Amino acid sequence: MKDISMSESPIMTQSKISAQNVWVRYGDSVAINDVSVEIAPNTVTAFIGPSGCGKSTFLRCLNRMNDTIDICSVKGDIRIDGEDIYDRRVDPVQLRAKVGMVFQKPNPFPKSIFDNVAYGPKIHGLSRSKEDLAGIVEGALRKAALWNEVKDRLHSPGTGLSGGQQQRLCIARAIATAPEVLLMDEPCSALDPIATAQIEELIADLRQNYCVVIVTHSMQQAARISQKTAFFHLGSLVEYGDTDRIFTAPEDPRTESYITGRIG
Amino acid sequence: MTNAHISSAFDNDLAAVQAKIMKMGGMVEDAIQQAMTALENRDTDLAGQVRAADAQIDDLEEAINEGAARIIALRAPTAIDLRLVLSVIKISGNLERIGDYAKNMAKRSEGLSQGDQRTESIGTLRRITRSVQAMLKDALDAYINRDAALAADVIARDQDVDQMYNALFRELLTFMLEDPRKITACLHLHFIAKNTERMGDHVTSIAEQVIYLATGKQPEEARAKADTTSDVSGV
Amino acid sequence: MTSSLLTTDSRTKRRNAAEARFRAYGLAAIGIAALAIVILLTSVLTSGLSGFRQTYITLEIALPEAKLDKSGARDPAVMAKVTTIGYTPLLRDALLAKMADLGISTTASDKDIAGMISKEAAATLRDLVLANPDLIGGTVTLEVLAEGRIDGYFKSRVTMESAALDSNTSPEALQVAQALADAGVISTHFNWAFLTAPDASDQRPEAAGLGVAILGSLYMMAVVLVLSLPIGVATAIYLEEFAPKNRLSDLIEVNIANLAAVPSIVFGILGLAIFINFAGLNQSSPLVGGLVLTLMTLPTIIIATRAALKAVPPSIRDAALGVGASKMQSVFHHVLPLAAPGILTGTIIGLAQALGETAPLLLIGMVAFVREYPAAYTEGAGLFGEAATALPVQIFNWTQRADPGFVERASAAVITLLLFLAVMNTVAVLLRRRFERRW
Repeated sequence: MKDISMSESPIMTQSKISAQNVWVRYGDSVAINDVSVEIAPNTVTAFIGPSGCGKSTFLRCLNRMNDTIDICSVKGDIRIDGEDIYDRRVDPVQLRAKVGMVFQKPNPFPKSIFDNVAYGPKIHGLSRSKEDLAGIVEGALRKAALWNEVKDRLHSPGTGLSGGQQQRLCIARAIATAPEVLLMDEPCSALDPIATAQIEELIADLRQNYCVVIVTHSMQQAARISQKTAFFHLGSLVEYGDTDRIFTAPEDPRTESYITGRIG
Repeated sequence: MTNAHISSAFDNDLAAVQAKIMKMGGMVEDAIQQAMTALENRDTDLAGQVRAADAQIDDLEEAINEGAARIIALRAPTAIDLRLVLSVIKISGNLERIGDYAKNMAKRSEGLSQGDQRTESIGTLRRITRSVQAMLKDALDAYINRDAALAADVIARDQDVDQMYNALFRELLTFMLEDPRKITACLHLHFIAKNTERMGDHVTSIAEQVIYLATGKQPEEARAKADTTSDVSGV
Repeated sequence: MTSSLLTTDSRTKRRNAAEARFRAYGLAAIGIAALAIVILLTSVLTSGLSGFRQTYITLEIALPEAKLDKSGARDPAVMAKVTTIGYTPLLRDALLAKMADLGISTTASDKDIAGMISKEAAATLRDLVLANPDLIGGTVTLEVLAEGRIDGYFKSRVTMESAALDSNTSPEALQVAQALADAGVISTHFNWAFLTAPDASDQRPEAAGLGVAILGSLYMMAVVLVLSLPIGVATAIYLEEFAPKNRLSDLIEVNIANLAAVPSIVFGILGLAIFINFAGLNQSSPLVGGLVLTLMTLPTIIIATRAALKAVPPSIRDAALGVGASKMQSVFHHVLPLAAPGILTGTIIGLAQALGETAPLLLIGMVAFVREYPAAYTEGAGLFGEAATALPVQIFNWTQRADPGFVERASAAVITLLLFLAVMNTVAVLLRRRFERRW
């Protein structure tokens, strides 16, 4: 049964992330049901779908966070830049330096702002000296549009910032390890509308340097910030294509039902 | 896919605006019918009624635009809902223009009633008008049923209307050349015919909106224009 | 019709009354608990505080060479041949001389007068002379312990009536003592010796001290801390973060929880069987005591650490993993610091519990009557292999003894123990506050 509807535009560049026939099971129950998708570099791809449809589960496959769950088994082929990330030789820790993640609730470490951002580069040995590290931290904070607000208080605790600032700090922390892919799991759901708009603006900028995959409950958000949208339902990928087409004339009736608010 | 939104207020808004469109369509159909009857029977009272009713048609268009704007602002419609709201706006504009043409037709019939007229031309005019009326009815049916095939058929029939108009144009030209005393009447008739042809174009536009609504794509071929009357070489 | 908000209906009144009653019960319970604490403290303090003060007699003691060092060589090895029996008359003479000086006359016999001085004093004097042989031939002014009954007289334990019935003293001796006190020769003041001196025999409660017991307890606490903290925390980390969630780990978890409830005497039997009989370690040494107490404290620490680890929100672990930390890095760099307050509290509670444990120590033989500081301690070296005792055991020991002077000693030791516990708990609170972070 072919569930996927591909976009009309041909894939000009090689996909950044290529997933083929991915199955994910928690014990006996199936969470992801034969999903295949190609994600292009330097784009924002949105995963939408009702609760429990598997979009977060699939996202967590991309940086092997599902490894931490014992009863979770992942089958199928997931490649980043052509390399199978579930290959025996791949160290998940190294993978996660290349594929960064931002979570739903901002979760800065209970350390200073500087230490928050510096932790990743430190443990991956990305800096050669103290000045180097400071430079990396500044660069990441600038890219996350947070530098001007915190440059005078880099050593105050990260937990003392507002919700939107904390989430930007988490984004800075994720990009400090110079990843190529950024995974975001409902990053704005805990934020107020203004902070949300700032993060969305930031995501639009980040697209120039990273491949961004974002899971979101808000269809308007997906419509605003993504170039490509994938609709998941009950573990299957129902439709995947250009965002503007999905939101004006989707091909699959299930997609249309969900987008127009006709089923939950 | 079930047709009802989870939010029943959304459904109510959409239903209200569509009901207005259907009412407007009905009123415009009536207007065309009455204008034609007024023309044939030289009934100036009926013509006056048509002109008065046009104000209601205009009000409906305003109400529909407001309703559509409200839906866009409050409901952020997507996919089929979005196409529905966009098409409703355009269709109401088209219907309002058709209503205006019907009103003009009624106005001119007052002018005609004082002079002489050619029954053959009236006959052709009646045929054109019947064609347009049928097209409008089918277009509105296609809208209710989201029937893209029927809408495509309506678009194709516009060619016939254009050709009938061409024929009437040449006929009137001939009459005017034969007898200059008939020029006034023929010019009136011509304008009426032109209005009817324009009505047909607007109905075609409605049908195009129906195709967009039903399929999400614009109709494929460019609308064929068979109106050659602007080509004045060799009469 | 809805009723007015300004009037309370009967249901609300009943509910409010029930709440008020519940609050009253709570306050009453707190009141009873406070009363109990007051009673406990009062009884302990009244009987024990006096133990920190001791009666001393200041004497000028002549040290004739003839009696102490006939050879004149001032060689401690040779001088050691003179036992305490040789020194006792010196003290008696000094006291009698003092009395004569002050013009105190009495009908008490010389034996009774001599009996005013603690028998321990002779040993003290002998130790002093052997350590400083050049004192021989001169006079040394020394503050010596008064005998237990004299001490009791000044602490109002012994009265003239009871002295009449007592074989160790007599009312006349007490009068002499009073006269000497008035003259300033006898004084009762704070004695550090209670905390530093080793235990004394049954007849000499005045000389009994907690020194060995405190040191024994401290060494055992050190052993417990050094062993149980790393092992307990590491075990908890492994079980909580790394162990696969299967039947085996469930079994282990259940068993650890049950171990915390096992009576402590069972651990004593375990210690006896394994450490002493099987491994052949020295009986009654702080090492064995420490090992047994470690086994007892481990479940407490493991459970407290697991609870502290569980309390750390998973979002911190996710954040660390997401940045590319390995499991160990995420646990040790992020989870453990956040769990530190809970771990510390659990550890100190476990230690405080171990400090007060008596039953297992009795079983492994720490009832030893330890008279001297074992050589190992004073040198600072050795592997805790010498026999020792512990605070709670010492308390138990003293309560078994006949001499009423030991009642005061035991109560004072209880006060000491309570003080240690209070200090440990305060340290726990302070450390917890210092490490507490909000996340």
